[in-house]
Amino acid sequence: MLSRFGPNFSFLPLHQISELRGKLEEMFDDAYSRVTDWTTVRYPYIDVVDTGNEVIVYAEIPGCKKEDLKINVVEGNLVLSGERKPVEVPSDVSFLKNERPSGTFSRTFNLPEHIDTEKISAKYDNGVLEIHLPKREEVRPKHIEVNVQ
Amino acid sequence: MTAEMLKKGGTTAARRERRLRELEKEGRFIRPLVDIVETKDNYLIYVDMPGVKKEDITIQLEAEDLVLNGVVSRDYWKEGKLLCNECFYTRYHRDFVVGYDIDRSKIQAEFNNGVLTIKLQKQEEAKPREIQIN
Repeated sequence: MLSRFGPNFSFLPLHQISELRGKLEEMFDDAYSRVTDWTTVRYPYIDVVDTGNEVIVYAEIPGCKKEDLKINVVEGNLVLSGERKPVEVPSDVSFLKNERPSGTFSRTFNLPEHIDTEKISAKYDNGVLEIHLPKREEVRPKHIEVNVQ
Repeated sequence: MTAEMLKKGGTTAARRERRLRELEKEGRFIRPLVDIVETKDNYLIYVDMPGVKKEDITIQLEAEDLVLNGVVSRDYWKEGKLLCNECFYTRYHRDFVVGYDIDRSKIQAEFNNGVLTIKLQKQEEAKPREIQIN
């Protein structure tokens, strides 16, 4: 039998509030996915850790190819740029949701003087780019023991 | 509530609320961004989950909900002084209502470079077909 409310209809106000919560979350996700110019948005998100001997930058860039990522040192700045390609699908299929950003992105960080730019290294694993910025020998923390006589 | 709904663990919304309440106890989580594509035979879900290891992802099918969880180990937070912290979350969580038109025994998933791809095959009866007029 055809019914206006479908088989699972029930009047449960609390559940409807919870459904509203889900809808609101979706609304914000949609707003996020409508951003078309990623150069004005902070992307990718990063964590920076100072371990003493080096500074490590962790940038979350899922689904990139290694060769599409670029790290440059320009006039004392570290420039991280790259391109995220959209999902490759045949043209006749439909997107039910398209939230993941694609396109080119770039972020620039000011490098402190005490970073040895010759020895910067990076690796890309599980969608996280890890940039190691070693400090110059003379600024690394030293442990000097003084014998008290 | 009908007996059938009780057997399934309440409505979709009730199950979702219960899951969220449990998750909120365990720390901050975000809803990962997704692309969902429908083709003739499948639904494909692409999920951005950077920083997760393959073994820390769980995909569960509960009644008609596909529940996705991922845990990120942020061990490096303790390795030194945190100068910048934009990746504040340690968990990914998202659920999808998949309905009963998919073949529940044929769900495949793969994880590559921080992107999880879930392939849901449609049931034979649910695939689009053309009906000839005699």
